[in-house]
Amino acid sequence: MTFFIPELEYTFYGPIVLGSILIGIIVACVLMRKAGVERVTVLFTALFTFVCIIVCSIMTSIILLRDIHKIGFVAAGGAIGLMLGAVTSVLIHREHTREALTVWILVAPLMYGLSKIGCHIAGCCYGVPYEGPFSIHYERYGGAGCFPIQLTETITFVLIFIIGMIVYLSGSESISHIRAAKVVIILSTIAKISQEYLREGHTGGLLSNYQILIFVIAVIAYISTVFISRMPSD
Amino acid sequence: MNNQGFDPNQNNGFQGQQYNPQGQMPPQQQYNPQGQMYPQGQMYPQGQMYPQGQMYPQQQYSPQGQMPPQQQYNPQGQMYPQQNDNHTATILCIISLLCHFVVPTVFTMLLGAFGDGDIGGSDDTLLSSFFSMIVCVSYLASWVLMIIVRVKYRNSTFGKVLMIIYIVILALGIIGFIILVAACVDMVRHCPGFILP
Repeated sequence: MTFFIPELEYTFYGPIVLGSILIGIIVACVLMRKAGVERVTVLFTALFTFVCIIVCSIMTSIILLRDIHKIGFVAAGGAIGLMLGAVTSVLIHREHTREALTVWILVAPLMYGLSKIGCHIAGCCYGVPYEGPFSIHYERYGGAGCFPIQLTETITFVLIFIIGMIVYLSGSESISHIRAAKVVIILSTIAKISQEYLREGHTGGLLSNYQILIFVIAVIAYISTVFISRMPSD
Repeated sequence: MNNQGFDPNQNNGFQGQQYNPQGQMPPQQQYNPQGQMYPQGQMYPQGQMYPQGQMYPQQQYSPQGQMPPQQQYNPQGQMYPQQNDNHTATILCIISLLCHFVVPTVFTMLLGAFGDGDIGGSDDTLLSSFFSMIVCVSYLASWVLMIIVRVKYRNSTFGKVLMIIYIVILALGIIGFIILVAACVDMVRHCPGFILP
């Protein structure tokens, strides 16, 4: 079974990415309200995190490409923005700190997984040459088969989100909520770094700059989680 | 002992359902639940029977309409901002405004004047990247300051206005992005024989 992606007039990459971010924000807001966070706090956190995701994503593309004429959205930048927005909001509001940070870490793989659908349709970030089952053939690239890395990442990261939600909902104490955040960070890091090797754009060395960046972001996220978990929850 | 023969320093005569003909509060009830003293010398309604075993009603206030001390605190137990806090909120709002509008404008003008990736040479792209980062950081800082003002100084009108302005600008930006995308798609459709790269 193979997939053939024709050359489209417009791939709706931007709206799909924006939609995945909005879906993640809605899920995070619902979980925050269920945890007992005030509506005003949820609103400010959602607004600020959304702004941070967009701005940091653009900033990361500027830093990586070093050309402001080629700015775009970078997933690593979005992750940085999400952590920056969530941690800053937690430090300002100091309300249900563990739950407020955990829910945003939980929805990060959901946002990323859904945004990869846009990449799949647009044909960016395609996989290594591959002619086996489920290979993707892009008309714009001459019809050669590629590994379905975007769909693989979508399935993987949505599964990570589901696992995180199960761990989060299985315990009622805030310490189990923090445990869910740590599980999601570790699983997402392993999945992202390992699947980078299946991407055509991988340089071929042991570790690319992008993989190192992912690892650094994961370490910062883990340390932030540990730091927030030691703060009073209210 | 006062002229009515009542010693306000002693808890005599004031039991659960006793009337207070003078309408004076018994000594132990001169304090609100937070341990603060009610304004002195204020009379409470006369002839009112004290509820048995209950503290004096929370909503009582003096005839002068003075707010009892417990209403100077919000439900989280924090004191409502006083007059000098508005000054701090105003300063934070002004800094936020500068970060949101002035700094990005100045550095965008500098970007146009000095930093251009087309000129070539890594220095120019580094400079433009540096200026772009300052614009982004300044924009985020403006939001942080606005949220701090809205959280810590809730009564600040300046903060409320700032919040509305920022949200409206963000919404207009998103709508503008959607319109731009739709316009580009429409333009491409009307180009005969044009194939997207």
